[in-house]
Amino acid sequence: MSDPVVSPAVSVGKVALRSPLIIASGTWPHEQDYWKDPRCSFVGAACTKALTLHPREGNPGTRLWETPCGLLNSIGLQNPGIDVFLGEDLPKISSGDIGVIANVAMEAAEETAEVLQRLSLYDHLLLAVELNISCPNVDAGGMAWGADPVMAAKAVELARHHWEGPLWVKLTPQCVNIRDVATAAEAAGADALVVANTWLGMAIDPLSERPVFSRRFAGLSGPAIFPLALRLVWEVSSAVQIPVIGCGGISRTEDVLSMMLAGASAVAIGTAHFTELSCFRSIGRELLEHLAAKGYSSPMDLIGKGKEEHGRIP
Amino acid sequence: MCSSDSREAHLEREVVLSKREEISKNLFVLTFETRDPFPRIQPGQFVMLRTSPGLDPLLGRPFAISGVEANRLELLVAVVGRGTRILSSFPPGELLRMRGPLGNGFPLQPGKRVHCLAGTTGIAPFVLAKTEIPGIEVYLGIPGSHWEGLASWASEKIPNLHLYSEDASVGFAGTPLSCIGSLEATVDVVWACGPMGMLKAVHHECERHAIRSWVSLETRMACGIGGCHGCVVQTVNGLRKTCTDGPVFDSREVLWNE
Repeated sequence: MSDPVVSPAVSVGKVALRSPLIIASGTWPHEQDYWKDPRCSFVGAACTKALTLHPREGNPGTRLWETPCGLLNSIGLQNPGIDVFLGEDLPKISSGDIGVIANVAMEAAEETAEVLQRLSLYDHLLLAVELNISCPNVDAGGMAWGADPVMAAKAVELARHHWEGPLWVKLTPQCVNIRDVATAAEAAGADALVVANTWLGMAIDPLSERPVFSRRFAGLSGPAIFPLALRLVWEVSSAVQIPVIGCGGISRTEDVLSMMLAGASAVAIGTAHFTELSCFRSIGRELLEHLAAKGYSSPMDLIGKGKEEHGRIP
Repeated sequence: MCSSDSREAHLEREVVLSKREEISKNLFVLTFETRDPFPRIQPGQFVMLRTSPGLDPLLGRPFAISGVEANRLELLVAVVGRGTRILSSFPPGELLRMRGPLGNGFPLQPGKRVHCLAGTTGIAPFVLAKTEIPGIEVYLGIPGSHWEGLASWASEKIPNLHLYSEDASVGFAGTPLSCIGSLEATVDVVWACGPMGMLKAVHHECERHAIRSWVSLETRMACGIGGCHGCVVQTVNGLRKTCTDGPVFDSREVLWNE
């Protein structure tokens, strides 16, 4: 008997991906080379940097601070605005080998509506919109939308109204009960949930005796947060029927397996490729080897399998 | 332009630390070797070097390249924090991951006399520049005799190095900035690398004498490839990324008061 052939392809709702490895928003250059193979071998899709209606400069001062197994960032949604993105970036990145997921930063309702209307004219070039109700590094909007189920539902309803394609919603860990926010987003029309964004942290420089970041608090990513994100993926995927994309500190093949066993249909990887661009290829190969050794034919066979004995979480 | 394939092949590689030379306290010249030859490297370009095969320290550290020959690459590493302390403690044979060469180097100036002004470890790109463009003049400034190890190493690498020390213990008294006043706007240009305060002073002194200057900036970086936007600097053209728009900038582009 021959070994079963394992395909890395997965689907997240109606979105078909050639692998479950997605490049997380805010981490990948909008340069054509980076959206083509072999740079993208084993990448299923990539999220753009967060997009806003008008250009945003982002935050002044220090933007990066390394921590043990982690990285604090305070970028502040720097982007050239939706028009420059559509005119200059999208033609370049959408001609590559991987699908484009447009990350839209939730701002005031009218602004986000306008961004989504403009993106709708280009929906044939986009796999999905990822509505970002979770950015910790801006004053207005951002994670304020994702901290509360009522606000989250409002944001998702608005997005649903102006964007007909697949709508993914990126949740924040900075909320009282992420299951409530998740079910509210699902009820409001989300097609998938990305769990989660960075954890709010801070750093103080002992030499200057002041906070490192001008906004004082910043978002923590990297392997340090992986167990925290894994717990949220388990909880959210137990609470909703729509697919969940695991995001937070995924650095190794074992992390991808754990996320999918916890209930993720795919995973987003960001900080890990800052240190090794070939991580997608190595994780992809090891994932296929693992699946073949276990006798699975698809990564989708893993989704939620870790919960089988536990049943539904009360 | 390189094709995607060749860029992929050249962007990241495993390197082995082949030589570790301590030229003075907390200052090292590290030589790395790899299987395939490095691509052509412009003076001012840099690499991101991981300081651990594991997850901590997490990020690579950016270093200007001080020398390259076939499959061998040399970096000048000052111990300034945890990552560089770990890096400088590795014995030869250690295997590490390197991304690069990255960024844009100093722009060649056909027909101009190039004067390279370095503040301490800012000498690194000019060691490479001197091997590529022998006609350039290189000036090194150090605070005092405790940097003599760097001065000796640089003097060996760079014939006719103009050496300055602030405490007058080595070379001329003062800083390399004093050379700017004698340059001629029509034929001379300045390249500079060193601490931010020095670069700012170089810019203002060059402007005072109508000399064009280019500076190599240093910022915290995570990816080195323009993905994270963590290394931006304020310029007259808005925010620019040190990693892919720089690290070398026309000094007139940089907003020095930010």
